[in-house]
Amino acid sequence: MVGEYPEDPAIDEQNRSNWPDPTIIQWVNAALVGDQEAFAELLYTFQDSVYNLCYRMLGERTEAEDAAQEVFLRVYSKLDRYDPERPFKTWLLTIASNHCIDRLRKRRLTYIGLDEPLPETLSLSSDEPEPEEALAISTRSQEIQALLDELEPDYRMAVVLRYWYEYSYAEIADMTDSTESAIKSRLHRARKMLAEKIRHVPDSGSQWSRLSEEL
Amino acid sequence: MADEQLRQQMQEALDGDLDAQQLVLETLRTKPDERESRHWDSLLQVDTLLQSAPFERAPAKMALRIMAKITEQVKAQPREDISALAMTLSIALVTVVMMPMLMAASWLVLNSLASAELLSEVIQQTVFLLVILIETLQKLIEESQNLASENPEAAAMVAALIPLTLLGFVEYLEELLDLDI
Repeated sequence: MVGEYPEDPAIDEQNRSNWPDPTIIQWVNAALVGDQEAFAELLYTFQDSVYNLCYRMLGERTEAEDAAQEVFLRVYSKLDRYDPERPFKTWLLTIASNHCIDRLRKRRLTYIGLDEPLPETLSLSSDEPEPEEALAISTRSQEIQALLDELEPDYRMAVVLRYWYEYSYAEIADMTDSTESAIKSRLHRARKMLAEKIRHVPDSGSQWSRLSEEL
Repeated sequence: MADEQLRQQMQEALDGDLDAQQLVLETLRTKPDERESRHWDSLLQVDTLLQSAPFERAPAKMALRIMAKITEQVKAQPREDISALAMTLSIALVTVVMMPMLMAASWLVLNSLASAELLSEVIQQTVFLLVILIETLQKLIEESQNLASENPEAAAMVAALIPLTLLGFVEYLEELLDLDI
C-alpha cells in the first residue's frame, strides 16, 4: 500500500502543502487493488492538467487527446511504482512530459526561421457553436500556441511547466531529469527567442499589442 | 552591442527577482537605450502573454474513452495469462523430455554430414515437422483464448492439449529416429 499522511505536528504549514493529498493516496491505494472507480476519480481530477500539457506540447487537439489517453494507460499499468513522497500530480505530469517529448522526437518538426512570418492562426474544428467569450479565449489560446510551436521541445517543456503549472526551476529539473541551471537557461533563451520573433514579424506590434491590451 | 548583463537582469526580473526588476527600470531610466528598451518591452509582452494563457480543458468524453480502454485491457489480461502460462509450462515440459532425443538427433545429423543427400533429407523432415507443430500449437492457443471469456473450463481443457500435443510430437520423433527414450 502507498504511505499514509503523516501526523507529525512539527511539520510546518509550508511543508504540509507539499505532502501528497490524503484523498489522492486513498484513491491510488484503492486503484492498486483493482478498484476502477477509484482510478476514474484520479482520471477526472487530473485529466485537464494532463490534456493541457499534451496540447501545449503537441499543438494539436486530436493528438493531445491521444497522448493524454496513452499517459493515463501508462499510469494505470505503473501505479505500483508511484512514490508517495512525491505529489501525485508531479509524478503524473512527469510521465506526460516524457511521453510528449518522445512523440515530438518521432515526428518531423519544421521550425520557422526569423525571416518567415508566423503561421496563421489555426481554425477550430468543432460541430458546436461557441459563445462569443469562449471563442475569444479560444482564439487567444491558439495564438499563444502558435508562439509555443516556434520552440524546440525542451524549451517548450520548460515554458509550459513554468507558466501553466508554476513549477520551480528545481521541480522542473527533477521532472525532466536535468539541472536547475539548464532549465533556467532554457527558459531565458525561450523568452528571448519569442521576444525576437514578436519583434521581427511584420505588424507584429499590432497583433501582440492587441493581445497584451486585452489582458 | 547588446548589454548582456542588463539582459540577464531582465530575465531575472521576469523570474520574480524584485531587486533585478528595480535595477532594470533604473538602468533604462538613467541610461536610455532604444534597443534595450525595445528588448525589455518585448520580453514583458511575452511574459504577460504566457502568464495569462488559458488552461485547455480536456474534451468532454475523454475520460469515458480512457476508462473504456482500461476496462478492455483488464478483461484481456486473463486470456493473455492463460496462453502465456500454457506456453511456458509446455515448453518447460518438452525441453525436459526432448533433451535426450535432441542429443540423439544431433548425433544423427553429424553422422549424416558424410552424405549430403541424407543431411538434406533430415533437415527437410525436421523443418516440415516443426512447421506443422507450430501451426497446431497456434491453433490451440487461439482456441483457448477465444474460449477463455465464455467458458474458462473449456479454455483450460484446450490449453491442456498443448503439452499433450508436444508429447505426441516427441513420441512421433522417437519413432521417426528409431530411438528408445
